[in-house]
Amino acid sequence: MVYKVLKTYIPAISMCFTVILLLAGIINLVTEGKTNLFIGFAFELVGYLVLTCILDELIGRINFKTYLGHFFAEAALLYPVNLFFAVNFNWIGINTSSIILCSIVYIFVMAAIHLYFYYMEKSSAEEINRLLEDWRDRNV
Amino acid sequence: MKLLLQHRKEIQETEIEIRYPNMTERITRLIQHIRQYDFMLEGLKEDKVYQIPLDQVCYIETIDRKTFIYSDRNIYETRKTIQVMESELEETTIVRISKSQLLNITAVNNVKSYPNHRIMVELNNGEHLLVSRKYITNLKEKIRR
Repeated sequence: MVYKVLKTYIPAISMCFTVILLLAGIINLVTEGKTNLFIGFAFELVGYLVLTCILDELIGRINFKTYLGHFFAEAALLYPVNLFFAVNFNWIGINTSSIILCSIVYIFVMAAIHLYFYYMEKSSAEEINRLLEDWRDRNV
Repeated sequence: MKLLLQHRKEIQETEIEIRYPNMTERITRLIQHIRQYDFMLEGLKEDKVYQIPLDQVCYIETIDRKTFIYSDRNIYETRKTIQVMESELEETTIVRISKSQLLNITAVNNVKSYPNHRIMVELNNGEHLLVSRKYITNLKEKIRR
């Protein structure tokens, strides 16, 4: 059940949430001809996420030997991008407490994403090992 | 199942005959296994041509446009490209695991997860190979067959 939630429901909810939000924003923009604050934020956020995906793809070309190495390198490289978007698009105020809070949220989200993929890939490897055992039983 | 073995000096090639009342999945697998055992790859080593049984092949790799066959103890070169090898060996236990490597699943000891959405394969001879994220599904499908 946990695996199904992680493998199916979380990605499905995330995809639906994003698509619904974007479509609502586009409909709002077309019919009303203006963007409200929340929809504007959604578009900025999508831009930020697309940029982080591109950077993730580039960082992924480095041959990291450990999950922690990958996490720290990615977190450090994407942190300035995160701060740039947060400050430039007024997601947060320019003061110490806002920046600290934003940094904590950023680290938490990054850690959660990396933990999610770590768990999923570990499960995938375990599945392959099970398949290999079955295959050996069938063929030897 | 009865197993009959006959030593016949007059025949030149080993013959296997299977007599069965009904074709079952187990017999199909047995046939596939025998065919796999019978599959030979041609490899060059020190200007000599060798016939390498597929069950002795661990993996095949392309380096600098040259294709090499790796067995437990030896490395052979082949004139075929990795694409040609992949298509010729499609019905065997060979599967593509990256842009430049084909793996024989009979040589796999176990796998474990590896950073950047990859899988690390430990071979029976202790060597390690990486499966790119693009080919992980291929590997699973091949083992399921």
